[in-house]
Amino acid sequence: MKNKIFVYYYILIKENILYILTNIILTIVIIFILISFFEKSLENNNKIEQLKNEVNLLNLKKNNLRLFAKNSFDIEKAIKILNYLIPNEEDYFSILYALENLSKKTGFQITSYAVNLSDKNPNRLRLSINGVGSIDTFFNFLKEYNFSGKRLITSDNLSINAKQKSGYKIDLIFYNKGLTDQKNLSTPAIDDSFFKKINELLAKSDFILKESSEEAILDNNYPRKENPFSIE
Amino acid sequence: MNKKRINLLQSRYDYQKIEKIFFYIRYLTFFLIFIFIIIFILVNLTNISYKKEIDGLYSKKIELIKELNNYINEEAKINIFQNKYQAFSEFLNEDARFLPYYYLLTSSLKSATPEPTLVSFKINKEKYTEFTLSFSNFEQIINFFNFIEDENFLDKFENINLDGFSSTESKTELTFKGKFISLKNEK
Repeated sequence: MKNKIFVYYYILIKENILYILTNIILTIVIIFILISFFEKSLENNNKIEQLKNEVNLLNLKKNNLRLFAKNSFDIEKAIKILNYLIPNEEDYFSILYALENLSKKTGFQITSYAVNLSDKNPNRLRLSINGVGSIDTFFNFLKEYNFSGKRLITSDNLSINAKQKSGYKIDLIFYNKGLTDQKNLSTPAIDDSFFKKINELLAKSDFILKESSEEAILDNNYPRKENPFSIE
Repeated sequence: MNKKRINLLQSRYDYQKIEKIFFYIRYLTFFLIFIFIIIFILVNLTNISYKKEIDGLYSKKIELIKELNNYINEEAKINIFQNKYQAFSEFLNEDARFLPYYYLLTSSLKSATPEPTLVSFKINKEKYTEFTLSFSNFEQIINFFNFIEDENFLDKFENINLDGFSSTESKTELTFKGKFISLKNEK
């Protein structure tokens, strides 16, 4: 009897083997397709995201170019002024020149200065200056110190005391900044208000180029000798 | 005990069960084929739409690159400018901007009656401030306390506290510490 049952099973399986195998194969294929589909979708989504970012960045650059052209912005002049304010490398002579310039323009006499080496940032140079002058000249100095020395100068901590008669001590910071790798640069979105802001800055610091070009014109009309060995 | 009879009803039931399972297996095959076709179509349609989107973005990218290549010099200048201007804005934010806040405080104090004397004023780049005011008599201080609780004075500051008090025969000084609300157009 047992044998008969087995034969029956055997026949049943034989008749249906094609279905069983098809089911197994189809299940494996469906699982495989779904897994590879999800992997591919993830890859495609990343690719699309990356391409969208690249296209957005390029569109931003294109838009920036269009805005710079539309506003007929003198970019070379702006770069020149910014390079004066923030040189690519620290130029100590321009610091001395800036302090002298500020003194001249504001009437606030800078009597001494000391370099503060506590600031380890290579883009900053901190100076402690001592100066004498009336309260009006000191206020002139406070009004002008940001740009008038032809260098960008800031002071992160300032105090004034009515008991101070004429001597003032101020901490000033000078900056330098070379060009960073273009790849690390973010491209900011700009609009018309950006140009308004820049033009205000350029209007404030336009004197830098004017004064510098005047200084560059040297007077060559001093008396010269034809024969350098003559006594006359 | 040896079995001498077979329970035919029970065996028949088992056969039917097995038959049913195979019947379901045959049905499952058709169901799986149907699912396979549906998945196959959906996967291909999705892949085609992905490809279309990628191709579209890629050709847009190429088109923009070609267009921007005509303005390489201008783009380089803009990059140099933006690099410097970014640094400039960042550096300028490190300034305490003494004068606008000094004038803000002194003009506010002018509305106090009687106006106190500003003895000292200190501000840092985070707009934290410390200032000392001098008063000639105690009554003046009481009046001033009414003044500093006024909205017109308090709305200049994120916070402000009375930090110190010193008194001599001729004058009394109050020291305040606080933080200014940032001005929009400071320079």
